Amino acid sequence: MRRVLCLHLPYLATERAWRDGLCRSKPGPLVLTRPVGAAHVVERVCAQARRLGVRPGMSLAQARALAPELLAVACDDQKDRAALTELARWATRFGPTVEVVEPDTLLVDVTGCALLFRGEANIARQAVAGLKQRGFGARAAIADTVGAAYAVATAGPEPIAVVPVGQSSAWLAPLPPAALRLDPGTCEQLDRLGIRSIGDLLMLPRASLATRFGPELILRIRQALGETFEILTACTSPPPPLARLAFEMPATDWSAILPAVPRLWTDVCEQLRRRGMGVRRLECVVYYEGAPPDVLCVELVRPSRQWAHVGTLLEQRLEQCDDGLRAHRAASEAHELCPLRITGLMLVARETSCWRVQPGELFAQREPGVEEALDMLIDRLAGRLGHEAIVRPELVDDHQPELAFRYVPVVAAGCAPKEMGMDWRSTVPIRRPLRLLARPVRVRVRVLAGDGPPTWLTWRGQEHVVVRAVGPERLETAWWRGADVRRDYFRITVASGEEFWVFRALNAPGWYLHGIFG
Amino acid sequence: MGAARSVRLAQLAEQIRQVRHHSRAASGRCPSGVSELDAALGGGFCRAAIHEFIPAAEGTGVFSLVWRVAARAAGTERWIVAIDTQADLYPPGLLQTGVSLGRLIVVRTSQPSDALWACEQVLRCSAVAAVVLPLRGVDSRASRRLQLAAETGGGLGLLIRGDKPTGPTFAASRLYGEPLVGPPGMRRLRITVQKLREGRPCGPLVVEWSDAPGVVSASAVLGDGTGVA
Repeated sequence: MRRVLCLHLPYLATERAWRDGLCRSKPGPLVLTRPVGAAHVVERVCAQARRLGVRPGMSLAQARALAPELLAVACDDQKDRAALTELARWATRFGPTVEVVEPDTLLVDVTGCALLFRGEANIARQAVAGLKQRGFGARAAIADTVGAAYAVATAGPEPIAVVPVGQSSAWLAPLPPAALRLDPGTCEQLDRLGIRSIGDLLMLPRASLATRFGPELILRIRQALGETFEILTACTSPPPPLARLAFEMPATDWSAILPAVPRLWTDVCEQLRRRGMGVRRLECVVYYEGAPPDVLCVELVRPSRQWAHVGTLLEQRLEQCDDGLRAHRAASEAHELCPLRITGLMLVARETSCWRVQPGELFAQREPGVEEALDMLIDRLAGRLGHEAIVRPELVDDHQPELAFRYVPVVAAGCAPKEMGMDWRSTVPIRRPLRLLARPVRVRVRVLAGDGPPTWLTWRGQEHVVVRAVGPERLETAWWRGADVRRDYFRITVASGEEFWVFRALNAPGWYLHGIFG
Repeated sequence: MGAARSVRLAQLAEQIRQVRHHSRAASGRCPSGVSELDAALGGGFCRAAIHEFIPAAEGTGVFSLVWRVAARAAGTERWIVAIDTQADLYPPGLLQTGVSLGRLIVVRTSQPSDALWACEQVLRCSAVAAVVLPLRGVDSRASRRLQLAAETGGGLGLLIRGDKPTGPTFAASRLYGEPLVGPPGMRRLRITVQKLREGRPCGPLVVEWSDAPGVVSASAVLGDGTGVA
């Protein structure tokens, strides 16, 4: 049986304003207002103001008449939304799926979670207590359906309610129809008809309701009673830690901007610290006037919060960007155009992962260990040469020499030392060259015996007399890979003392030099 | 005035010598495992320095020698970085030199400037015991930078030069290697130590080592266990 927890925070906006310290004066009735024309209209009221009779929709002057000591602050929907999203993230401790219903409600799927909290009542109690600790008053209800939980949480008689399984309709009956999430027009119409409770509504035949009020009302009733399943949309993952800066005057010069970067980093780092994360990929977005922004990206092998490390990598990137900017400036001066101007900067920790505190790191600056030093080196190298250029070799069990190994980028493979242990190849009594040409090079040879080794070859314009040859070692490839490869390899020593690895292709006759025993 | 200045200069020279001696003494030497060569070098290749190797031709065995030195320098604790400028490094072949592939990082770049920059960065890192860099040539300025980086990081910089340099170098040693035909299963090399910072360069010296798979050299397998199992 599905169980849904609804957390309703009726005074979220005003409590958020208090929490943010927007009004530092002594506690009192607070309203959030929005300018409409010349007047200010009350948008949200706190509990105290509501008790004094202040209601949303009044003008500020009216509200002041009711409560002379009223505090008024401008509304900030974005901050309210951010606060609610943050609480949604927190609420995932009660259930895996949390939906944010703006402006003031959270829905949590707590199906099967009761055992973990020793009862559903405990879930609701803990949720309300947790929110209170965070400065938000909340009402909680757990019911079989989203609709029922929402109705009981918003309009129910008790601040914490658990509707037993299968008793939704009984609990819903005394509540006003508005609790079913109906639009105000419908509520008004129902009120005019004398339908004051959901119980009254449920007595009416559905067919006539549908013709009179449209399908929306029927859907809400069906959802509340569990006749129609309602999906909870999980709130999306939290926004990455970021810090932004917009310049009042657009700048053309980097020197004016660079000092801002460490400041932004401090902000980002603080957010990382709060989340217990370290940055794996940091993006620095540079906004220009009338041009698409530049995104400078720094990737790290190991999550970090050290500016010393991240900063040097970012500097590399900024220098490249600076060169581009300079080139652009030179070009625009030549054509007497307006130079590219920087209007803002943003630093985003695009990828983060768990940050583990190294022993001793909390209290003192520690010398970086071997592994850390290596990670920093790899970050530096990859910063300039790209991630594909920094690789680790892995052996592949394949007979074709050029396929007997592969390179894996270190960033993907990580740089924990791998123990190769006993390798089948080290027990093969045939030597492999240290250098293998990317493509075998065709060489001219002279061969005495039909399938024997060459006695003479020319390579890169030089003639070599072969004094010793070891082989043949016949290598055949897997036929299922397409054109099969069959080769007889010889390790040859020439008169000068050099050693080469040559082979004769068996299916397309010819001699090739493949490797050098450097 | 003149006397005071010369005294001051002498003092400074002494300080430099002490500093150098100190850093050298702390870092020690890394033997190649080829006893004749180690004797000529005064105990092996000194760490925290760069060394130049000049092969007379392509398939001489200089690479083999260099990788053996790198393997011994790294031991089982530290890392080797190969800068693969020619895109022809063959890791399966490295196994026979005693290199542990689990502790090898390859930097693939074909630009000489990038290769030198990467080499300098790697040498500065204390986690890396040796860096192997084949390249065409190094001017004295780059050589100086690399040497300073090696002194910071304490590792070995092993440069295999494709040109035939004659000018000065900041490397601790410069070895010229000519291939010789050795007995079966052995690599033989005639080495001329053209430069040695602490010691005297010496004339041609014929060294040889076993090239058989699983054998790093006669002494290495019994020694510190860096050989391929």
